[in-house]
This record gives sequence, structure tokens and C-alpha cells, in this order.
Amino acid sequence: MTTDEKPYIRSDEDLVSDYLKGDENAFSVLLERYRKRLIAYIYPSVRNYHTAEDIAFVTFESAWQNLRRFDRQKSSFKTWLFLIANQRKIDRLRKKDREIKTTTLIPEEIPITGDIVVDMQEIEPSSANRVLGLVEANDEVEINEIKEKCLSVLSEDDRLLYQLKLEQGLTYKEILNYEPAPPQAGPFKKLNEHALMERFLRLKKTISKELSKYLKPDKE
Amino acid sequence: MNKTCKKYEMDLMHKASGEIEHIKDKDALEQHLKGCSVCQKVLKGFIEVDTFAAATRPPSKQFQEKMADLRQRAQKGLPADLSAEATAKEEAPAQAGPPPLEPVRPEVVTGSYPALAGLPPARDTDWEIGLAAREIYNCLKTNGPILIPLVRVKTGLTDYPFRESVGWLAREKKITIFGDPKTGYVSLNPREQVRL
Repeated sequence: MTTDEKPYIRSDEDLVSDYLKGDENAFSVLLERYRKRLIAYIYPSVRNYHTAEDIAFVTFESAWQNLRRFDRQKSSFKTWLFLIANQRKIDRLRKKDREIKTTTLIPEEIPITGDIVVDMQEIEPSSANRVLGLVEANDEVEINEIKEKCLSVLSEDDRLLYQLKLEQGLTYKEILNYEPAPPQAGPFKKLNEHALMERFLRLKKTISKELSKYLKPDKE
Repeated sequence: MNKTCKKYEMDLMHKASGEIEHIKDKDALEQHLKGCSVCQKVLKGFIEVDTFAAATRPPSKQFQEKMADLRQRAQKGLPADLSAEATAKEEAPAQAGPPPLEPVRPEVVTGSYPALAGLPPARDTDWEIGLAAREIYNCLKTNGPILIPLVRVKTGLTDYPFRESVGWLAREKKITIFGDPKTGYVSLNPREQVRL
């Protein structure tokens, strides 16, 4: 639901004006309002959560430092903020691209883990526009309910696997050795890495199917 | 999905997560992906799952600390303003502010309701306070006991109807306020928590 449909909530542009007039909390509201949206916007290009968080933070900091330059007659705050995010994202990808090219003669063969892995030509921000739309259209409680519904189809162990892999960012090897209450063995101890990957693949396919129920249909 | 596509399913998952070190033959995957709309769709689905997980996962500790620092800095004002303010304090004595504005009574326009004519349109206050109370209730449901100013920050509500809604929820015995009603804590009542 947008602020147009909730007139009792201050619009982004009003929050900027209020902040510039001296309402010291107004900018914090904007930070809270845009955290998830920015992550959803940045993540598909960088495919690493911590990098997405870094870029989101730099975006917020830039926006704060340049807030006087924001002109509500020219664009909405959202457009302005996402333009900054886009620029910071490209800066980061260019930097990484340069690092890869200068550190090796055969860039394609470098295994890169835990950081930007996407080539400059491969940036696909449209890939997750539907998720961004979902995050924008629902408030925090509604989003949590959707997440809960998507996860409700998983078994207890699969829910744990989701948490370990997608929320805590553990590697497959770390998950295999995961022990919730040592010395009791973790639920994935008996699996090998390939079997764990197979299991995670099934989990992702299930969630993808569930999630698509809440996403807007693709424009063909 | 045919047999060839099935072969690439796992690689597509690794590609979506950015774990390309697990991909066996990157060139073959790229070649196949260029001409296969089914696999493109599967890849998109996997990226959507990862993006949704990223957007809904709790922020990391480092990010929270950095954001708290930014929030604190922002509460002190813009960087340019802070330096300008410091210079101004040194250079010039404090100036008298503008004179306080006198309230202007709107001109009454004669009509069928002469007493109300000329006033701004009537507000549906019950509706506004009710919706704002819903925001506050949901915020407490998600966050548990929390500082009252933080509820205002999280909900983004204006002073009115925030205060009216807090009062309304308290009168309805939905919430309890601990300490100062402006700066203290607020929590859903135990009966409401049981209902969750």
C-alpha cells in the first residue's frame, strides 16, 4: 500500500521537508521505510547479501549528505534514492570488474566466493522487479506473513536449511558440520555436499513455486 | 523441462546465488542459457527466491551499527548545516527569531451551514485514528515492547494521529505504557499477545 492510500502517513517528500525544517526523526523514518526496498533492488545485481547491505548504507549516507539537492518538483524521493543506489551499485561493480581484470590473466577461471560474481554485461535488475514490487506493496507485517506462508510448506529440517543458507549465509560445508546442540550431530551430518545441494535445490524450487503465487504475473 | 535442462538445474541455482565456484562448466551453461527460455525462467525464479530471502532477513549486526551511527549523525543535522552553524555561532551573535504568527480565522462564507462555511473540509478523524492505531498495533506485534518514540519512527505517523491512537489503544486496554508517556516503553497487553 502506498502513502497515497494512507493519507495519515507522511509522504517521503514531506519527511524530507520536515527533516530540513528541523524534525530530527524524519530522516530515520525514511531509513526504516527504504531498507528492505533497497536490498531488494540491489541484491539481484550483486547476489551477495553483505555487499547489498554495504551499497544500501552508502546510498543512504549519500542521500543524507545531498538532501538539500533533492528537488521534489523534478522527481519523487524514491526515484532520486534509487538513482543514487543504481550509481553506487555500478561503481561497486566497476571496481570489482577492474580488480578481477588486474589480478589475473584468465578472469573466467577465478573462483570468487562471497562477493560480487556478476559480470558487468550480466546485470539483470529486472530479474527481481517483481520481488521489489511485492516488498513495496506490502507493509512489514504482511511481508512476514507471506514469508511464513512460503516457508510453511517446508519440513522442519528444510526450514533450518533455509535459515542457515539464506539467512545466515553459511556455506554448504559449514551446514554439513552444523551442530545445533553439541555433541548431538546436526540434521545434515549424514549427507555429503552434493546431496545437500540436491536438497537445497528442491527447497528452492518449492519456495519459488510458493512465492510466485504472491508475485505479479510476468509481462511476456 | 527436458533432460538437457535438468542437467543444468543445479548450475542455475549456483549462478543465481552467485556461487559460481560450484558450476562445473560455465561456458556450456552460458551457451545453453542463451537459447533456452525455460532455463532463463528457472534462473529468474531462483534469483527471486534469493532476493526475497535477502529483503526479509534480519539486518546484520554491522549494518545495524552503521545505520544507528548514521541515524545519530542525521539527528544532529545535515553535514553542511552543522559546519555552517558552528561558523555562524562563532561569527555572529544570536538573532531574534521571526515574530510569532497570529492565528488567522478563516472568512465565514454564508451557505446552508453558515457556522461551518469557510472552514477546511471536515476530516474523518475516527477513520484516521483507527488506521493509525492499526499501524501501531502491527508495529508492536512485530517488535514486542519498544520505546514510544521508536514506534513513531517505525510507523512514520505524524504527531496527530499518533498520540490520539496511542490513547485510544490504551483506553481499549490493548496496550500498556511503561514510564513516561512520551519517552517510555509501550507493549501489547498479555491478552493481545495470547491472541497472536
